[in-house]
Order: sequence, then C-alpha cells, then structure tokens
Amino acid sequence: MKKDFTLISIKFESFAIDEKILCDPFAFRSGISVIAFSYVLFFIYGKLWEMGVSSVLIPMELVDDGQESSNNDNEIEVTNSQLICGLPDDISLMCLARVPRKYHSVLKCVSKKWRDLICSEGWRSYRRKQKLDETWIYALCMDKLHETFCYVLDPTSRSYWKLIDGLPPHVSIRRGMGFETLGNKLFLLGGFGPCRDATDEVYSYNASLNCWVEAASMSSSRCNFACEVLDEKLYAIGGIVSNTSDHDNSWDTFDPLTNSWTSNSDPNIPKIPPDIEDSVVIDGKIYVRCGRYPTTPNDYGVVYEPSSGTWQYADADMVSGWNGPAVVVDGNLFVLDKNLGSRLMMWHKERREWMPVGKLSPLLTKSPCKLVAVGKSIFVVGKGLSTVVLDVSNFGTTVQVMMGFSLPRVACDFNVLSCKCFSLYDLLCPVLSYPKFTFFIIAHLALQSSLMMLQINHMPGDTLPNSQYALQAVDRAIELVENAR
Amino acid sequence: MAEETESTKTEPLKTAEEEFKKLEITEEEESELKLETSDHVTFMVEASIAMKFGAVQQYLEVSPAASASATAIPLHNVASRELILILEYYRMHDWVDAGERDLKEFDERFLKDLNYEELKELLLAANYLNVEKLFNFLTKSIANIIRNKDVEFVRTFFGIDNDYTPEEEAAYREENAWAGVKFV
Repeated sequence: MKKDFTLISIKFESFAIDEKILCDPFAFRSGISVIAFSYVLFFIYGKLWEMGVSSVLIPMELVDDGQESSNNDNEIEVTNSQLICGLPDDISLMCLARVPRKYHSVLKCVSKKWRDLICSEGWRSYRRKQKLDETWIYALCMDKLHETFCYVLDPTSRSYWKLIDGLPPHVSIRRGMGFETLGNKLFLLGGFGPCRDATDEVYSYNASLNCWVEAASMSSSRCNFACEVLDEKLYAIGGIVSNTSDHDNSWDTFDPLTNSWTSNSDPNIPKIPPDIEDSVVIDGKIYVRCGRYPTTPNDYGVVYEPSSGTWQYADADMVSGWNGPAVVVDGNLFVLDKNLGSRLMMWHKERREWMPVGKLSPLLTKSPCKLVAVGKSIFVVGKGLSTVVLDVSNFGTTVQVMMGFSLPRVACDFNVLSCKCFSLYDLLCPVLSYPKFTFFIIAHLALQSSLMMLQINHMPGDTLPNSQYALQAVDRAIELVENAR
Repeated sequence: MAEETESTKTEPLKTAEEEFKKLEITEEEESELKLETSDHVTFMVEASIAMKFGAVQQYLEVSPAASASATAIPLHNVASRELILILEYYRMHDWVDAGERDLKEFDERFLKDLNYEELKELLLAANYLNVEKLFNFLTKSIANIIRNKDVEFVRTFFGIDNDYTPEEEAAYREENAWAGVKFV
C-alpha cells in the first residue's frame, strides 16, 4: 500500500458481468491525437493542479444497461449436461445467481458451463431483476510522484481497498483525466501527459475480466473537464479543449449503443470556464460548479437540461454552499463542508437552503476527500484511502450511528475526542487478518453534534482469531469511553 | 319457579348454539381445500395456506368449481413427503405469534433436517407449486453452500466434472487470486 495518495476521483459501478470482450464495441478502437497546448493555457492548468484542483467527483445512479444486451447476444453453448445435476438449468441459475459477487471467480473456475453461465446475459439480467447486483466502489488516486492508481472496494465485505492492476503505464502518468462508470465499465477519459498535451484517448476497464482496453476516442482532446453519466450517456463537459476555437462552451457525449462520440457546442450558453471544480447529476440535470475565473468574482454553477439541450446558470444559493466534495443521495445534494470543520450539509430543495446533517472529526477525514454514495450510505474517502461510511437513511431523526473503517495512512495516534454516551450496534467484522488494520467505532452523539472516535490498531503478527480480536476491540473501546468520562 | 329455571336453562343453551353456529361460520370461512399429491395421498389444507400456492390458484382460476366441490386438486409433481415439508414451512411462517427469532431458528432447523438430495427435491416441488417465499429461501440456501468454499468443494458437492485444461484452469485461478478468494 503506497502512502500519501491524493484521491482524484471516485466512482462506483453496479455489477453486471460481461466477459465477451471480443465482441465488445468499446474494445480495439484506437485513435491518437496529440495536440500541443499553448504555454499560457498550460500555465493556468499547472497552477490549478498545484492548488489541488483535482478532477471530478460524480455519483452515478445505478444504470440499467439492459439495452446493452443487443451487443451480447451470444448464447450459452447448449450442452447435454445440466449445470447442477438433477435441477433444470433455469432453477440452477436462480440458485447460483444468489451467490455474492466476490465468489463469482470461484464459480467461474468450476467448469466451462458454469463460466459461460456467469458471463451470460441471462445471468446479468436475472441478477438485476432480482436486485442482486452488488455495487463496488472504485477510486482513482495519485501518489506523490503523480502516478495514478485505481483501487476497488467491496462495501459489503468491509475489507480493504484492492489495487487494480494493468492500467497502461502511459495512462497512469496522465493528469486531469475524467473518471466515470457506465454500464459495467469504468472509463478513464482524456487528460494530459508529461509532454503537456491533452489527449482524446479513452480507456475502459472491464470489471469481470479485470483488464483495461482502449475505447472509442472523444471528439476533442480535453483535460480537467466535468464528466457525468446521464440517460445511459457519458458527458464530457468543458475543461481545457485543444482542438476547437470556442473551447469554453463545448461538450461531448458518448452513446454506448452506437459506440460513438458526438460533439456539441453553443456559443450562447453561460460560459463554462476551463476551471471546472465539481459536477453532479440531480433530477436528470447536470450541475457543473465552476471555480473563480479571472473574469468572475464568485464561484458559479451552470445547469444542463438534456431534454431541451439548454444551459442555464444554477441557483446561486446552492452553489454558494457547494464548496466541497459533493454526492447525490435520492436526489438530495450532500456536501462535505470543510470551512467550519468537516460538516456534512444537505441542500434542501424546497426551502432553498443548506441544512447541517452532522459533523465529522477532521481526523477521520483527511483532506482531500471525495464522496460516493451506495444506496443510502455515503462513503467519505480521504487521503490514503481512509474511508468513513455515513448512513443518511434516517436523516432527520436524532440519533445516527455512523460506522467507519479505514486503512492506515500514516502512523499517528488518535485520541478520543469527546464522549457522552456510547451506542454500539452491529460491530463490523472486517477482514482483521490484514496487517495493521485499523478499526474505528464511531458513534454520533444525540445531544451534541460531536463525534467520538476510537481506533484500535491491529498489530502485524497478531494471530488472534477474528471474533476474539473484535471482542477485544470492543472491550478496549468501552474502557476508553469510561476513562474519558 | 320451575318455569323460571327452565327459561334460565334454555338461555345458556341458546347462546351455546349461537356460538356453535358462529364457530361453524368461521370454520366455513377458513374452508379447506383437498390436494392430491403425485403418490395419491390426499391432504386437507387450509384455504389460506393453499391459496399461497401459485399452482393451486391457477387450478382454481381454470376450474372454480373445485374449491366448493369435494374433488381433489391434483399436484402431479409433488410427492407427499415434500408437501408435508412445504406445509410445515408455511404453517410456521403464517403463524402470527412467530417472532423473527423463532422463524430464524425454525429455518435453520428446517434446513438442517434436509440433505442435499432432499433439498433439490423440495426446490423442484416449490418451483412446481410456485411458492415464492420457500423457493427464494431454498435458492438462497443453495447459494450459501458456496460461500467461502473452494473450487474443489463446489465441484464435488454439485457433482460437476472439470472440463478445463490445466492451463485454462491455472489462468482462471490467477484471476481468482486477484479477487482475494483463498484456495485451500
């Protein structure tokens, strides 16, 4: 585990397995277009980078990519043998589809027939229909040497972030890339390389094959742009575009059904400056937050409505409070406000004001953070991929219990911050065999909106069984709480 | 005096009769359906439970007379052994007083008493009868068998022949190693 990652962007992908990469429209298309940048543009860009203006953070709705089936009509080979002896294949499918995603690799090893089943369209559609598709979180991070890595986390197993290998080396040194998930694929778009030229290249990661392939190139070379998925289409908006004269007001859309990009531009729209800070999708509209540009005194945001294809200025009140990493849960915008400690704020659409949800210990969430939502849980992923999970499902009630888990970032000692009462519900049992695993128990206090945090380090070389270790952790936690009283 | 005592005696009698009638009515409301299994055993099953079976519902839609008449509804693909188990499961899950914990314990015991062959038979019966709750429970149970197991276990348990070449298998195992599932 490399230390001191800066998290660039974080996405999640709804699982649907697809291994038929050979008939995949995204694969095996290449196009290289290298266009030099003007020095001035690059200077602004480099400055922005130094200031830590990283690329995008966009939550993605669980995308139903059922229409993709037309691309993957290869049926399972019909063989005489049954999947499970004594059961019709359709019933076997219903049984096997309930096996969690992390065991699918085991299923694939069993036999060719089982592998074909797991890679079939029937398997995907059944899992989606039965709401069995599991969501994994993907994070794009960068180390001190500006090398990019991609990590994955299975939120259900509560284990640890795993490195995804195989990112092409020339891509891993790029910066200002777009990062988005569409269907069961992860996309890395554009960016600029060490020669300071923006690129239009797109790489996609296939979750089931665990491999990166080059995908259809964007219409224009872009970096530091907003990247969103809306209505099964990928949008690359604004940023620094190098091959159009009117680079401020253009956006590209990618349709996976046709596997092609289309370029759009509109000189009459509100100006989308090159310094895009963040973007989200709320109620079928793309909101892009733009930073302070020399010509504008304040932050402002623009909204794109795909039905009419028009851009407008966003609600200024909303944009004013949107000053940190954001995520959308059930159509509500949540922002981690770093100005007054780490406060989680929610934009109340009817009242048109920002409401505080809860306060987080700044020790838990090391900046820069990115947010991603899976269901009603917000994952705050900070420096070193330290992860805190917040449950906002019963937002509005007085007591919230928030659970977090984290990977060690740096060797530092956390203390109990404040403590009034202790409510320990379901103790998480993560994979404690992981060396130096750090385990947090966080309780949101009902009376004061402060957080108590406990940390118990799992020392390398500990050979305690997991349950015993977890019990010890609880004992230690209670002891600490008693002492603090 | 004698008349008075008579009248007081008849009154409770009347109420008892009324109560009996009431009971009859409630019994009529909770009518029973006759189900015949593949091995020609007839079961009298409460309509409230029998109507949970998709196959019975369908049968009654086609021939509504069957509910009133004494003709048994044939269940061609369900043996009496399975039907007993299915009824046991549904009676427990229909029981109003059953708490979540009771049901969990019951489910665990229910599974424990079944071997793999019986589990499959029951799954097929549940599929035929179209009983969603039990079917989902059984498919999940089969899926749970695979949790935390290695490939060899899955192969021997489900009786599947390995048709991979050693090279192919090695490649898939490598992928497995990435996914973090340990092989014993």
